[in-house]
Amino acid sequence: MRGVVCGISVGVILCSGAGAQGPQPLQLASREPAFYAIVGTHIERAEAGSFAALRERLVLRLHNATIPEALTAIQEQTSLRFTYKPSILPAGATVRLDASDITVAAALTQILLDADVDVEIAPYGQATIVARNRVANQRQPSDSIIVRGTITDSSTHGPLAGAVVRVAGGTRSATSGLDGLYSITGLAPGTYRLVVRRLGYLPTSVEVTASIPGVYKRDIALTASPAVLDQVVTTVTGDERLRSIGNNIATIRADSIVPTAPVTSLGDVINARAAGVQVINAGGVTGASPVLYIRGAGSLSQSTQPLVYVDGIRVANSYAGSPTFSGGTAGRFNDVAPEDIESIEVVKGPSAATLYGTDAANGVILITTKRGQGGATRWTVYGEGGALTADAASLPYNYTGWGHAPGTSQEINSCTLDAVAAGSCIQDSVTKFSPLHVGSLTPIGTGNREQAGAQVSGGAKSMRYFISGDYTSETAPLQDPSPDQRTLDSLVGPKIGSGYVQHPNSVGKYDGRLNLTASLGQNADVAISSSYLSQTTQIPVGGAPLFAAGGPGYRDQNDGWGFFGAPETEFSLIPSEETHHFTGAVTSHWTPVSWLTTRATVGLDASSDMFTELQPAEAAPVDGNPGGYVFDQQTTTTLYSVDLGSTARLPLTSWLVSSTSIGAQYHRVNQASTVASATQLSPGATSIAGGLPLGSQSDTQSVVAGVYAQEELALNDRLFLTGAVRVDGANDFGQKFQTATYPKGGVSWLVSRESFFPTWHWLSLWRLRGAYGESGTQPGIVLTTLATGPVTIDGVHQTGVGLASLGNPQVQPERQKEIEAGSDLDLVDSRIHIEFTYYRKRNVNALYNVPLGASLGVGSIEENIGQIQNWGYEALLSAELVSTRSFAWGIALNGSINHNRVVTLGPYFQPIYGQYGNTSVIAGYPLFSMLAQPYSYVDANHNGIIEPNEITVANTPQFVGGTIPGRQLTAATHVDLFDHRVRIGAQFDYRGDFVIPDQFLSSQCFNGTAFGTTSRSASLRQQAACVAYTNYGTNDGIIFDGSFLRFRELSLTLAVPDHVAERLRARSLSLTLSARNLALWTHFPAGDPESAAQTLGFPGSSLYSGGGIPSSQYWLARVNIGL
Amino acid sequence: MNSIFWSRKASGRFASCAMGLLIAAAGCNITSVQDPAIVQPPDVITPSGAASLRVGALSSLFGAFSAQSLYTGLFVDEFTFPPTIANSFAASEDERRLSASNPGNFPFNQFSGGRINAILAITTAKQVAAQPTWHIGELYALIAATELEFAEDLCSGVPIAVVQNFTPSYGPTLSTHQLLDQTLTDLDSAAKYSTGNDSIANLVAVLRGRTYSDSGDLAAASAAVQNVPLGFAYTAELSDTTNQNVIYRLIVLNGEETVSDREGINGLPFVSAADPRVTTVAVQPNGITVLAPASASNGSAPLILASGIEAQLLSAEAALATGQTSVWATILNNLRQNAITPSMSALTLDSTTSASPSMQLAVMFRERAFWLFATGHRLGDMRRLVRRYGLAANSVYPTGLYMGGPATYGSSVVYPVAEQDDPNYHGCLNLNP
Repeated sequence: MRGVVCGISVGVILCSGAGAQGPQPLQLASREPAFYAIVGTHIERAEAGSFAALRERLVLRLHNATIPEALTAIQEQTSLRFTYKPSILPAGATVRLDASDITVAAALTQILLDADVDVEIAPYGQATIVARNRVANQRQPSDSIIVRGTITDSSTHGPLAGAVVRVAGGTRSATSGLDGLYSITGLAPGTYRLVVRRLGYLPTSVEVTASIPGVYKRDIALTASPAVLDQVVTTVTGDERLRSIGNNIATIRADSIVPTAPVTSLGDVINARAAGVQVINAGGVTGASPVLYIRGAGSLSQSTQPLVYVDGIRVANSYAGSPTFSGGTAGRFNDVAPEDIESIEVVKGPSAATLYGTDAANGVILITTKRGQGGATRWTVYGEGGALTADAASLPYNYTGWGHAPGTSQEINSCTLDAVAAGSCIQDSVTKFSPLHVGSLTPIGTGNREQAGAQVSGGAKSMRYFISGDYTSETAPLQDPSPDQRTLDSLVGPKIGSGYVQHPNSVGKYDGRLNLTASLGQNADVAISSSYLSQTTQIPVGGAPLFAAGGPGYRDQNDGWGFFGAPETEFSLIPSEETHHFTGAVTSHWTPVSWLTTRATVGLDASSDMFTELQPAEAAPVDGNPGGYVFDQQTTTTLYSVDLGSTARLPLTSWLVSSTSIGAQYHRVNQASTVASATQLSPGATSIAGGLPLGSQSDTQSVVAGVYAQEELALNDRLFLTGAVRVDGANDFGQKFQTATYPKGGVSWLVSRESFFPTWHWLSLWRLRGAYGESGTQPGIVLTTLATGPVTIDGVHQTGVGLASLGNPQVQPERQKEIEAGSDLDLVDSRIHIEFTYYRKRNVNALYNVPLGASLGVGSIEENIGQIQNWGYEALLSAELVSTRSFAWGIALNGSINHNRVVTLGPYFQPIYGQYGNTSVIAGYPLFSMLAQPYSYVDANHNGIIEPNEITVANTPQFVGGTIPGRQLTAATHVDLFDHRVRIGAQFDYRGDFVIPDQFLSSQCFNGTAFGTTSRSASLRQQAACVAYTNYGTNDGIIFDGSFLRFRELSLTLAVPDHVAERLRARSLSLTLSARNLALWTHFPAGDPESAAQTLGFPGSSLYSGGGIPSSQYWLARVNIGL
Repeated sequence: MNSIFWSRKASGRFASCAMGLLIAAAGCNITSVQDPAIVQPPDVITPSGAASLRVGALSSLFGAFSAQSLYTGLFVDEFTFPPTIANSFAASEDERRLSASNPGNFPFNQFSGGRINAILAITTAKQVAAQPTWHIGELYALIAATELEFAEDLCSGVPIAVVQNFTPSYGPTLSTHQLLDQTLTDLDSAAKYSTGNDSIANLVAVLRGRTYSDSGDLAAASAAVQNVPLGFAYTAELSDTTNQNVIYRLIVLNGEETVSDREGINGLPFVSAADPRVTTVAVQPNGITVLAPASASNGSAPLILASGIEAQLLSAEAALATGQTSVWATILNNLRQNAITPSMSALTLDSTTSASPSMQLAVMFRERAFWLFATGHRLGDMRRLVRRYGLAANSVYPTGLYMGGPATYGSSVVYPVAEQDDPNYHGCLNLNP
C-alpha cells in the first residue's frame, strides 16, 4: 500500500511510487504530525521516508502509555534522541499501540496523532517535538515550491555529499549533505532546470516543472568521470587540485566500479583502466598477483613493481615468501579488498613520484579506502556467486604419424616426416590427440566463486566510522580428473583433505576493515585506518597444459600425457600458503592558522606467510622425491612508515599565491624468512619431523629516510609553477654513497582561462602541462659477506662459513629521470575529457648482478652497468555522449604506446642471448626482448619435406620482438536506461607489439609430435620451424606475435526502484550479472597468450610464455543491498 | 652551562640529529640496520671463526668432489644416461661433445669456491694461531687435490684465483704442467702442517704419488706412497641433510643416470663383468629403471678421495713401467687377496706376466678402473693412457654410435673451462694436452 495511498496513518510519504506520474506535492493528513528536516541553516518540510532514522524498525508494546513514555520506548530501540517541552504535549494523553514490526515514522505518526505537534529531524538523529505548524508558519511561505531529493552515484546508487545543485538562470542553490540530500526552497511555480556539479563527476542537469506549491522530489544520479581537472588528488604534500600539477595522474573510482563490474581483485580494478599501466596476469591461476609495469620496464634486475600506499602508508607489494608455480605467484598486491576502496590514483613515473623518494622509480599506486559518512547508520550488504571456466578448446593437439617400414608390414607409430624423408618408414596415416580435449582426462574443468560481505558506516560529525567484513572463496577451473584420485584419497585423504587435491588451485579469505575519523575541534582531525586479512591460497605445482605437449598424438598407457606425467602426479605435491596481513595507520591533520596545514601519519603494515608444500610418501613421486617431501617457509614482512608534512599557503599579492611544503618520511622494511624441509618421509608423515630435516633462515632490513621541500606558485589561479627537491638516505646505497638527491619541477597552465583566449562555449578548459623529476631504487646488499650454513663435518652437525658475495664500494642507487608533457581538454560542459601525454624516462644507473668468472667462486657482483630508456605516448578520452534521465551513454578510451631500449651496457656486461624461450638483454634492443637466428628453407629435393640440409641458418641473431606489450588500448562503454536503473557496461582490452615463444610448439618439435614434424599437410614453413629449432637451436620459427584483443568485461546491473527496495526493507537494491574474459581474438597459436607456464624473473623467461593455465572466464551474479 | 645537556659535544649531537632530519637523517643513523643475517670478514677473524671457515671449506670441497665423481664418470665410461632421458642438450657431456659454449657440468665453480674458502680458512687459522695445525695441513692437501683435478680433467689453461684481504681476484692461467707444479707446492705446505696426523700425511702421500704419476714420473709416485698402509682411506664426508652424495641424488633419487656397461665400444663391462668391486643396485625412481653403484646407497655415503689401494696401484704401475711384471702382478693379486672380502681370485698368468705389454697395460688400467670405480679417477686415467702411453683417444674413450645412433660420440677428451664471464680469460691453451 505504501507509496500509492497518501494520508493514512501508516506512513507519511510522498506519492511517487507505483502508479504516480512524475513528482507530485506531498499531501498530509491534517491530524498527523509533519516532519521537517534541518538542512544547514534551513528547516524544510520533508517526507518521513527520506530520513534513514525514521525508516528504522522496532517493536512497540504500548498499553495506555503516556506520550513521553512512548517516545522513550522508541528512543530505547533506535538511534533517535527526542527533545521537547512537556508543556506542548497534551496533558494526560495516553497511547495504545501494539506492533511487532513498525517503522519509527509510522510509530511517531500514531503516537503523535492529534497531538498538534510536528517533528524536526536534525542530522545525527536529533528529533525535536515542536508545536504544530510552528516551522511552517515561521520558515516556509505557504505558496512556495520546494525541490528536494538525493544526489547519488549512478553506478553504486550511494549518496553523494558535497554536490552543488543550482537553479539555472537564478540564484537559488543547495549543497547535498552527508546523506546526499539537497533541498532548494523559495521557488515560485514554474519550470526550472537544475544543474548539478560535483568533483569527480560529470555535471548533470534535470528539469523540474512545479505547477502548484508543495514539495517536489527529484533524485539525481551523477556519473563518475575518470578525470576532470577540478578534482582533488592525493600527493605527498597533501591533497592538491589536479589542475595545479604538471603530471598526468590516473584516477580510478573503485567505489563506482566494484559493485557493478566483474572485478575480483585489486589487479582487476586497475587493469585496463589507466593508460600506460600494464597489468600482466598469470593466466588463470587463482590467487596469483599480477606483475605491473607503469610506462615500461625500467630496470634490468630490480623490482618493477610500483609502490603501493593505502591511506597514506606503504604496504607490502612483494612476492617474498610466496610460492611460484605454474606461472603464477601469490603475493601481497591483491590483499587490499576492492570493496573497501574508494579511489585509486596511479602516479606513473619519477616526474610525479619524486617526492616519494627512493624506490618510487616504478611509480606509486595510492589507494584511498572508504570513510564513514555522518548521519544515520548505513549498511551495505552484498553477495556474489558464479562459475569459472577456461577455454581449453584452443590448446594444440599432438600429432603422431603411423606407418610401416619399407618392405614390411611392421607398424611404426613414430613415422615422422624426417623418418619418411630418410626412407625408414612409409607413412600411412596421422592421428591427433591431446588429453586436454578429453573430458575425463583434462585438468581444465569448472571452478566457482562465492563472496559475501557487509559494510556499515555512519557516526556524528565528531566521530565517523566505516566497518567492513568480507568472505571470499574461489576455486579455479583446474581439476584432477584422474580416477586414481580415489587411491590417493584413501592413502592420505584424512590428513590433507581430498577436496584440495581434486581442485588444487583455490583461495579462501576473510578480510575486515575499521576506519575511524574524529574531529578534534575546529582545526584538527585524526583518522585511523586498519585492515586485516586471513587467506589460504593453494597454487598447483603443475597442471600447466604445457605438460600435455610431452605426450604422443594418441592415447597411450599414460593417457597421452607422456613424459611429464598426468596431472594427478603433479597434484600430489600440495603447496599451500597461509597469509595474515594487518595494516594500521593513524593520520592527523592540524590547521593551527588558516594558512598553515600540517599532517602526520604513522603506519604499520605486517604480513606473515606460511608456505607449506607436502608430497606424502604414499603419493605419486614427483621430481626426485620418491620418499615424499615436506617444505615449510615462514616469512614475515613488516613495514614501518612515518610521514610528516606541512604546507603554508599564503597569497603574496592579489594574483600570486605561494604554497610551501616541507616534509620528512621514514620507511623501514624488515623481512625475515625461516625455511625448513624434510625428505624421505616415513609413511603417514606430513610434517618436518617425519623425515630428514633441513633448515635455513634469512633476515633483511631496508631503510629509506628522506626530507623534501616544495614550492608552488599559483599565478592568477591559472599558471602553476612547482619546484621541489628530495634528499634521501638509505642503508643500502653503498659504501661510498650516503645520500641521493632527487629534483623535480612542473608547470601547469590553464590556457583557456587567460584573458587573451577566445571564449568558445564548447571548450570548458584547456590545459598545458609539463614536468621533470627523478627517483631511484636502492641496490641490495653491496657488502662482502659470508654465508653460514649447517654442514656435517667430523661426524658433527655444525656451522660452516664461506664467502657468499663480493662487495662493490662504487655501487650507486638506480636513478630514473623522467620528463613528460601533455595537454588536457574539457569540452562541452566537461562532458568530454581528453588527455594526451608524452613521456621519456631514462634509468641512468641500471643495476645488475654482473656474472663473474667461475674461478672466483662467487657468482656475481652488483654493478651500475648502463642505461635503459622508455618513451611513449598516452591518451585518454572519456565522453558522456548522451545524458538524459531515461537514457545515458558514455564511452572511455585509454591507450598508450611505449618504446623501450637498452641504451648502453657497461664493459663487463656480456650480452645475454636468450635461448629456449628465454629473453635477451642487448644494448640497442628492448629490455627482455626475443632475438633469434633467422633461417631460410627450400625444398631442394622436392619431396615435400623440409630436411635439415635444406635449411640455412644465419650466424647472427636478429631482433624478433619485445616481450612486454608496447601498445595497449582499452575501450569501455556504458549505457544507462530508465533513470539509471539499468546499466550495461562493456570493456575491450587490446595489447600489442610483443612476441611470445610458443613453448607448446617447441616441446612438440623436440618430441616429434608437432603438426610440422608429422603431417605432410603441414606447410613447408611449419616444417621448417621445427627442423630449424631442433637441429640448429634457433627460436625464430617458434616465436609468434602475441597481440590479442580480449572482451574483458560485460555487465548488466538492475537497480530496483526505491519503493520496491523499501518494501524489502532496504534503502537500495541492485542485481548485477557480469562476465569476465568472455572472448579472445589472437593469432597466437597455443591458446591464451596471457597464460604463462614459466615462472617470472629476469633475465630469463618471458612474461608471457603460452602453454599455461588459460585465463579464467568468470560468470557472476551479484546482489548489492543498501540498508 | 656545565650540564652535559649543554656541553659542546651534546650540542653537536643535537645539531647533528636536527640536520640529519632536515637533510638526510644520516647523521642520526636512523638508516642504519642491524641485519643478523649478514656476516662480514671481520666477524670471523677469531679461533671459532677459523674453525667455522674450515668446516665451510671442507663442506664445499667435498661437495665438489662428489659432483666431479658423477660428472667425469658420465664423460667417460662409468655412467651414462638412460635412453629415455637423454636429449640433445643433456647428452652432450655423455656424448663427449663439449665446447667453450657448452662446457658440461664439471663443478669448476664449486671447486674454485671451495679452494678460495680453504685459503680464507688457512689465512684465518694462521692469523689467530688456531689449533690443531693439521687442520691447516688438511686444507692445503685439499687445495692440492683440487688443483690436481683441474690438471686431470680440464684442458690446459685453467684460471686460478688469488686471494687477498678476504677478496678473490682473477689470477694467472696455468697450463697442465704448471698446475701439477702448483699441486706439489701445496702438498709441501700440507706436509709441513700435517705433523702428528697420519691420516693427513697419508693423504698427502697418495696425492703426491698421483701428481707424480700424472707428470709421468712413476718412480717418484711409487716412492711417495711406499709408506701408505693398505687400509688407509681418506673420504669426503657427505650428509643426507646438508651435502648429499651426488651419485645417490642423481641416480638413486632422480634416475637421471645409470652405470654403464661397455659404453661406446671401448667401455669396460662394469655391469656384465659382475665384478665384486663394482656392485650395482637396480632402482626405479620416476618409473625408470637405472643401475646405481652400491657404494652410493644413501645420501651420506662417503666418497673415497685417496686410499691405500690407490697407493698400491701406483706402485704396481711403477713396477710395470720398469718391466718388473712379477712385482706388478704380485701387487695386483695381493690387492685382490687382501683389499676386498671375500677375496677375489688372482689374475691369471696370461693376463699378467705372460701377457703382451699392451695387454698388461690394459689389465693395469682395468684393475684401476674397477678398484677406483666412481671415485673421480677414470678421466685422469684415460688421459694418461692417451698422453703418457700413446694410445689413440678413440681406442680409450667411448666412441662410435651414441646409444646405437643416430648421433655419434664426439672427440672431447677433457672438459673446457667454464669461465665465460672472466674478461681476463681467453680460453683453453690446449684441448688435448
